[in-house]
Amino acid sequence: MLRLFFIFFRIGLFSIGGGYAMIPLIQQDLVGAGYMTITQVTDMVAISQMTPGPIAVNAATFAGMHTMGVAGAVVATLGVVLPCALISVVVARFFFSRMDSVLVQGALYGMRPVVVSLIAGAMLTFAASSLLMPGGGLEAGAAVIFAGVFTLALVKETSPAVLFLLSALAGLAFYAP
Amino acid sequence: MVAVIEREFSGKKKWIDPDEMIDIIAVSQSLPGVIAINGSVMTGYRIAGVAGAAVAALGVTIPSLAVLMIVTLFYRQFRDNPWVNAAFKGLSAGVAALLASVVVRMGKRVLKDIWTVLFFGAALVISLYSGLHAIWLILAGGVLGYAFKRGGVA
Repeated sequence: MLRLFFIFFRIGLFSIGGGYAMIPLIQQDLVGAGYMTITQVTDMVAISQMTPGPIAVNAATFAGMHTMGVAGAVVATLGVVLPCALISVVVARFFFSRMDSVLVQGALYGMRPVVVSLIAGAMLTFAASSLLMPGGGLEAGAAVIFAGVFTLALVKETSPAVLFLLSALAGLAFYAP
Repeated sequence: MVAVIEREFSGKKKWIDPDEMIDIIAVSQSLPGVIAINGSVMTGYRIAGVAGAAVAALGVTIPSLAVLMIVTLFYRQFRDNPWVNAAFKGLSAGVAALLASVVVRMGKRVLKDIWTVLFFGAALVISLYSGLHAIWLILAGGVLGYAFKRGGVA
């Protein structure tokens, strides 16, 4: 339980640049510690996107609830919220006008490209587990969904909720019994 | 989310000055952590101090906590149903595709010069081929970024 708290505390502390940045951290920590499988993490990302509220909080509640029930949900959520809340209060109190400094801007300048590549890494893991069949070879239905959603997201800027609704429907069309 | 905060507190209720709201939004995006929580907590703090911050944090967290607890119960109950499984197979391809689009869009905004492209490439190779924890890569990026800006290289 304490371990779950610290995992999420660390995730809250190191998610830089929004909800997507925490996905590679969640994946590395929870799958690494054996709490969840890749498939469950992918499900978690889909569910946290489709439900209202911040992705990070939704994901923490899901992961905590899934691994350790109600207490786990509360502990994981506290873990992810606490560092953000503490940092925000300290910044609002002392550093508000100093956020333009070379230190902050320089650090962000170097961290942002790293975060993009971590998200790219998580994307490759998810794509491999979804698009490749266990014995090798491409999963045709999933590949069509991937191409369609990628195009819509980039060209039409369709909202994630709509994209996921379409993916679920397409999944039913391709794979329903 | 940020748009809702802005409309409520600076537009409708006039609890906070619009310029200060813009600053809060900018700062909450450069802080580590959940942007929605950073923004809410700073707004709460500026309006009512530490108590305001605590209330804001709880307020933005509790609905998600409640909804996701219920959703997770259903998930555990029905994940193995063949129909639900089919929908999640579609969703997993959708998640990968959405992340791919996020990478492209963030990449266009963030990879502005040779150094950021190098940081991106190096971090990708290291994260794919070594077990190094993501946190070390983020920290290394921060230190190098600061050093480069400070030294006038970037």
